[in-house]
Amino acid sequence: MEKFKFELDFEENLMQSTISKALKKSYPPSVLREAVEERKINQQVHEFLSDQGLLSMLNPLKQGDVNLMLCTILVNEAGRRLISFPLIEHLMALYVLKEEATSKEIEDFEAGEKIATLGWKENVEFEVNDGVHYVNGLVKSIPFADESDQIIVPIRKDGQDQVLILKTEGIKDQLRSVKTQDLTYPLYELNLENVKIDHVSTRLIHLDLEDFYRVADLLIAAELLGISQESLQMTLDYTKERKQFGVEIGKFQAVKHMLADMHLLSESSKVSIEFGAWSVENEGEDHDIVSTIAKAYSADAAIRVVESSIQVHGAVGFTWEHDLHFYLKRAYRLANMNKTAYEEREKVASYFMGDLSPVNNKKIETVFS
Amino acid sequence: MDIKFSEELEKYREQAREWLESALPKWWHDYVDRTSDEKRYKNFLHSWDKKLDEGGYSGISWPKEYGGRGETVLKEMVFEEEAGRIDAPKGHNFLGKILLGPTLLTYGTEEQKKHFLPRLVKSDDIWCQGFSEPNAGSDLASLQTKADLDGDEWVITGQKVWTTEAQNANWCFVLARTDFAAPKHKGITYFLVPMDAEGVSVRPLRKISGEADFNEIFFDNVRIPKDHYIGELNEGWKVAMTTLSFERGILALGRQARFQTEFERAFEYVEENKLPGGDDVLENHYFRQKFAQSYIDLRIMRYHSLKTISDYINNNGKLGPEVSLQKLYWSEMRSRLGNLFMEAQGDDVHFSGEDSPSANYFTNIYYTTRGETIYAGTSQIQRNIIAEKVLNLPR
Repeated sequence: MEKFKFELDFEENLMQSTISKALKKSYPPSVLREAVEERKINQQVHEFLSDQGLLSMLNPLKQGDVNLMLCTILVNEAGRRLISFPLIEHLMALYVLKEEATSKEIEDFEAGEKIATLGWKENVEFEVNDGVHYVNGLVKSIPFADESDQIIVPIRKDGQDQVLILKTEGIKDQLRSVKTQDLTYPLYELNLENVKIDHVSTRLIHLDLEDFYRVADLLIAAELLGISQESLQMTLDYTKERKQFGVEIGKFQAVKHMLADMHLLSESSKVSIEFGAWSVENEGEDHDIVSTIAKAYSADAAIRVVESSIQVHGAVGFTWEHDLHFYLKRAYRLANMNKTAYEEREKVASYFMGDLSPVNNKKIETVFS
Repeated sequence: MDIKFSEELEKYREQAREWLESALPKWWHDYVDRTSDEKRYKNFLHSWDKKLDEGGYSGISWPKEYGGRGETVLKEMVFEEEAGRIDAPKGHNFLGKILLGPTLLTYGTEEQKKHFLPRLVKSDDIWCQGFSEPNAGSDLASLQTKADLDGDEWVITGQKVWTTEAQNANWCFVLARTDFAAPKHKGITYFLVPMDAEGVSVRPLRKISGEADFNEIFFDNVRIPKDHYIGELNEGWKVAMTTLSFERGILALGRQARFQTEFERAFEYVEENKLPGGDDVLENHYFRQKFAQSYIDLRIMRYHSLKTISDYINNNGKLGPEVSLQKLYWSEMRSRLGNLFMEAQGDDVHFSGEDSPSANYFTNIYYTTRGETIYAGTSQIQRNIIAEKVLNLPR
């Protein structure tokens, strides 16, 4: 028989079930409700992630041993529980730091003793005065910034990639807690006024961000998948319990068909992430576009799955009596991290229209020649 | 995870591609020219099954003892993928090879395999599928075509419908009821019926596209030898489900490649012909977004296909109810592609023949997609299967 396996291996499955159990235990729905009130990093989750060494798992593509599949599994499980911890941000911030900083400088972050987060959006400008660089403007969508030790801001402008690295200490009074729809994930913005790039507390480095976005998009997609899966699971359980007209509503074809469509959306998102993690790590087929595909698809899928879940739950799904609305709002936030679905599709359009010369174009030439 | 095709497979792919390029005439690649000479087009279609066999691309993964090439399933998939990519014809014996062949390999007797499989490989026999009936579509198990044993012969009476290629076939695999007292899934047997037997008649049906490769078949006291069935007597439903799992799932890689080629052609078409309203497609965000979404959907179809193939080869050639996800995904996706192709043609969409700039190429794809959410189990039946057999919802 041929060697060809599109399924998680033993270690990956084991990790998935271990994390799933641990997070279910340390972060049950009651804790989610508390977290929404507190708007703080959940200490139990923080401890679990640190103790298990999960926060240092992701490595830069260039350095090998990326552990991308394992990280998508971790983030996927976190997505199911809506955990109150900047997981993707911490992993991705370390991704940058591992390329740039010395191992001594990052050991506290790897151990989870210090927290790094990301500024997903920015509108900053740099000025040079007497050979000294200053930064001005707004960094936006920074999860859990007030509890972080460093804020990493990827900047892609005019074909140039840079990363701004800020120590949070000293600029905390410039942080503003932003009112957001997603109550499970506090966001901040940071107003920078003539902040000096002093190479100590504020640094600016040049770094090719292509790999960064590729990995980040896959992790976002994995968290969105968790939202789809958990929302579907809650709905499945509900349809087997809830009775109307004397029978479980799961017996009605109208309901069955909705659940089948939800499952298909969720499974399609899943294959795109599993294939994507493998392909990006192994430079396989579509490795330069699959993350964008996975993220765009998973975002639409998660929103549709939660919307259907709300519909199947009836009126309770439409209220705060149920947790579904947290899932919907988190899906919308995640969908807009990095790029919006519209922008992701524009990127895909440019890709197949030849700007990035997809492999497939070459193959198709043989058809027309 | 290990989803990299080996070097050997890639070499095989190169070979297959070279062969396909040499076997297909230049005019085939130009979809407008392709059908401009109907006789030339039809003759070429008729010759394709034999060409495939001569090239060594028939029965690729079937055992050598049954006339196959004894190659791996992955090689067969790779060939299907290349054939799809270059938009090669499928051949008249397509259904025989993809549906009956694997079913015979699973359930056939040694004698049946030795007799029928080599003839299938060489396309000495052309097969069609006798499943649906006028009153048994989605509820296939309620079929009423009956077979009675009379001495050493079965006597078959009934009607089948929506039968592709029946006009070219000399054999038909037929589901018929052999026990009317048993529950409906239990009394069915999977028969092999020669189309030239006395009492078999075929009436062509014109499809929405105007093509007439669809038929009704009437069986009027057709007598066939006692041993002309596959699997156990009254166990035909189980055998038929194997057939359907192949129809639903395993061809996905080749299908995806074909859809991707069509997609690229549609994009080139609007690039050359401008969009409805005269816009350049590259600058029109409505169509950019729609094409991009289709591209995303198509790539995900490919990942799904790779997973199905992995499930197939790592599970001893068996496919579970999960193939319904595959079928629902691709048929619904291609139906959206069909809609996009219609919309992108603008005013050209309602012209036909030589007055259609694409010689109906895109419109025919659209028409085909209207059938794909129906055949091999409608989308509604697939959703039932997913809900009940995969998600375990109560019946």
